[in-house]
Amino acid sequence: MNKYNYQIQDFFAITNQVVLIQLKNEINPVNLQSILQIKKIVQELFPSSYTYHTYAEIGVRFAYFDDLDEKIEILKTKFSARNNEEQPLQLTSRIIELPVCYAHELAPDLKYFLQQKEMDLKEFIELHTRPNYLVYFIGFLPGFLYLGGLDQQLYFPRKSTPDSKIEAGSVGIGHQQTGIYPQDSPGGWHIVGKTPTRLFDLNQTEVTPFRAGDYLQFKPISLEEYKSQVQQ
Amino acid sequence: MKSIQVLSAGMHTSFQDLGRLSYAHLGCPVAGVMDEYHAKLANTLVQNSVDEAVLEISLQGPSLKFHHQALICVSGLGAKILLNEQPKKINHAFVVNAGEVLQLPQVTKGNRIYLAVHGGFNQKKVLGSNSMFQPITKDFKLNKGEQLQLNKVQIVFEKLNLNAHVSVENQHYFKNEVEVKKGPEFKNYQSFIEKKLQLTNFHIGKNSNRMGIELLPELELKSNSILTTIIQPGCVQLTPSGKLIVLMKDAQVSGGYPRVLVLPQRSMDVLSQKRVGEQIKLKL
Repeated sequence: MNKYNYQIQDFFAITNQVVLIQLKNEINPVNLQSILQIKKIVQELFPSSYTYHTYAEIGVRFAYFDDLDEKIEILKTKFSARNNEEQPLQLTSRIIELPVCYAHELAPDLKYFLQQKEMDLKEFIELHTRPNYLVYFIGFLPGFLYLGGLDQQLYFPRKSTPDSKIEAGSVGIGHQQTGIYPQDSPGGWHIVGKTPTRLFDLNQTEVTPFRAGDYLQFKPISLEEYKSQVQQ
Repeated sequence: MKSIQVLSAGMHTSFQDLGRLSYAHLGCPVAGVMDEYHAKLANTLVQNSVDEAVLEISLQGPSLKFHHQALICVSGLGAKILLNEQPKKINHAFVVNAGEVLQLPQVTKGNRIYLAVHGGFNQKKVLGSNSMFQPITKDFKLNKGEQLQLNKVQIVFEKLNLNAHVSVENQHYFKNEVEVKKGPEFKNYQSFIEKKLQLTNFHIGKNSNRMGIELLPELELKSNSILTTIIQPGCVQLTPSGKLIVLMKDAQVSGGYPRVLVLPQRSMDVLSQKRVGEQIKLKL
């Protein structure tokens, strides 16, 4: 009994300008594929709308004077399972490398992490750099990537008391996630590495090098390489 | 010489407009004015479009020396406004002459007032907006000694008719009832929330700022974290300890607590002017 296509569960007007398209409440690549496909269709349907998403929701912003009830009806019809077939789904398959230095000098929690995991550095780097991490979306802080694909052997609880300042570029592990702090900010993840690349740079045409659907691969670099690549 | 010299910056004075509306996909908060009604009013009274950048001024305001003549308006619920030490009315446009000093020593009612200048400030937009938010903008507030540039304007100040009647409709700010709507996760907590909203006199907690406003007391309910979802300003999160937090303009674009309620913009305007400790009722 599938009411809508693309795993859509419901529509919800969260403000007088923004409609949420809600999918099955899950983190998985199929959801992301659906989301990217839905966004494309919504953009074609309402060219002046603005869309963004998280794991299982798309926000569609309409103009100030638009009637959201009417928009929701149009969306319901468009995505009704009775009306049309689902289009085949495709992810952009860009793989973008991000250099990371796993030197203790730059990774204040690495030693503790390895001790707790009873793991040596080589083994850790191998496990952390092996996967292609899927970029689900950007949120939390400007340029912060929500990544999927951390090896289960690297799952590790967040700190009970967050640090008041984690430096921009720090690569951390928290619970079942790994990620990069794009700016100096407070945070509760264990810091295991650092990238010299900026994840949010207003001086670049592409403010952030990543977009949802990309894959990220960590590429290990030495401390010397880090120092030569770090942007002042 | 630039148009305005910031003699003192006040407690927290920042440029804001209607926000950075289309950059959530990069993780950028909306930002923008907390009280849209009064910001739009100030712009309207100096014949600007409503999305022109204004100065948002908190509690203790700045002193500004004007080097150029300008048509300005200070809007809000109540404030001391002195032009060369002569009192001026709130929510009224008036002309400032070159060499005069505007002082805004105190917001007497509410938390924030807005200063609009005819023609607008000559500020560079970042990602489509003048709203200050670090690290998207270099600063998050004005600094003492800064110079501000105004856009060039064509008006003949001597011929201005400033007596046009504009009715200021802000009486609802003085009521303690704030209208709320159901949020996406309301249904999971429906009977509990409905009962609590009827019975509880909330007050504004001290951990309230441009990111969020906390409503106390905490409710006797533990919420569960949910999958990270979309946040819009106005969303009311129920935290694991049972606290309601109204997310305001500088809030993150995504979050992991249930969004049990949502405040429409009109209610956010009112809430942004409620002081720490002030009581409110939430009306569904």
